[in-house]
Amino acid sequence: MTNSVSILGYFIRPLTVSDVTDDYLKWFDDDEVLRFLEINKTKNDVSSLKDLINYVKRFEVSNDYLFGIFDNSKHIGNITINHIDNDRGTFDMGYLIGNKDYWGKRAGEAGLVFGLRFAFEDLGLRKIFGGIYSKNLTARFLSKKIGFVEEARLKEKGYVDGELDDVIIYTMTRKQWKHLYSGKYDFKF
Amino acid sequence: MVIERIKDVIGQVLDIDFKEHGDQIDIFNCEEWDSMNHMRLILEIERVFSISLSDDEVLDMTSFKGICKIIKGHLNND
Repeated sequence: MTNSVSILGYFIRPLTVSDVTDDYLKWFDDDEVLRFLEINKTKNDVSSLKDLINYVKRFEVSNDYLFGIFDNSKHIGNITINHIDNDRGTFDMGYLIGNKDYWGKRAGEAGLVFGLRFAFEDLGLRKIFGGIYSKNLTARFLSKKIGFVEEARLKEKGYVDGELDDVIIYTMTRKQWKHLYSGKYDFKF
Repeated sequence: MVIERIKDVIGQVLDIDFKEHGDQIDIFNCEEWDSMNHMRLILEIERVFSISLSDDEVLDMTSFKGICKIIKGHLNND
C-alpha cells in the first residue's frame, strides 16, 4: 500500500475508518453527487456512519483499493480501483468528488491520474476497462482529456434519472499510459 | 465573423487571452479547459449561435478547429 502522494495540489492516500465523518456521510444524501454512481441505486446501503465504516472496512479485506482525495486535511473525494484480475492484468476504476465545492477544480483529474499510476506502475496491471453512463458528459469529457479510448458501448446497461442509459467503455493500456504521461504530472511521494 | 465570435466565447468562458493560445488551442494544451468549463462553453455556444448540440458533438468539441467545424455545419444547415 502506498503512503500519501501529492498531485495537482491534492493529497491522496488510503482511506481508513478514521476518515469516516458526518461530512463524508452527507455525500450519500446528495442526489447530484450520486446521480451517476451505482451506489445511487442502493442508496439505503449507506445511510449511517456504521454503514460507511463497513463500506470502508470492506476494502481492508478485499482485493480492491479505496483512496481518499484531500485538500490539505479536508476529505473531498474518493478513488477506487476494483475488479482487479491479476491473471489478465485488467482493472476498473471509479471516482467521486463528494464535496461539490471542488467540482471543476481538477480534483477528479488528480484522482484518476493517481489511480492510473498506482495500477499501472505499482500493481503492474496492463489495461483498464472503465464504464461511464453516456449521459455523464463531464466524466466522458474528462476521460477524453486524460487520454482514454472509447472502446465499446453497452446498450441500456443501467438507469440514470429513472431512464435506461448506455454505458460507454473507456480503456487505456499501460503502454498508452507511459506514452501519454511520462513526466507530464508531478507526483510528490 | 463567426470565427471571431467563437474566439471571443472561448476566451470569455475559459477566462483566457485567446491570442496567447492561438488557433491550436485544445483540451490537451489548455489547463483552463476542464470538464466544468467545457460544459459552460457548450451552453454559451448554444446560446450565442442559437443551436442545439448533440452529445457526440459536445464530446467532439475538443479544439478550436473542431468547434469551428461543428458550428459552421449547423449554421450552413439552417
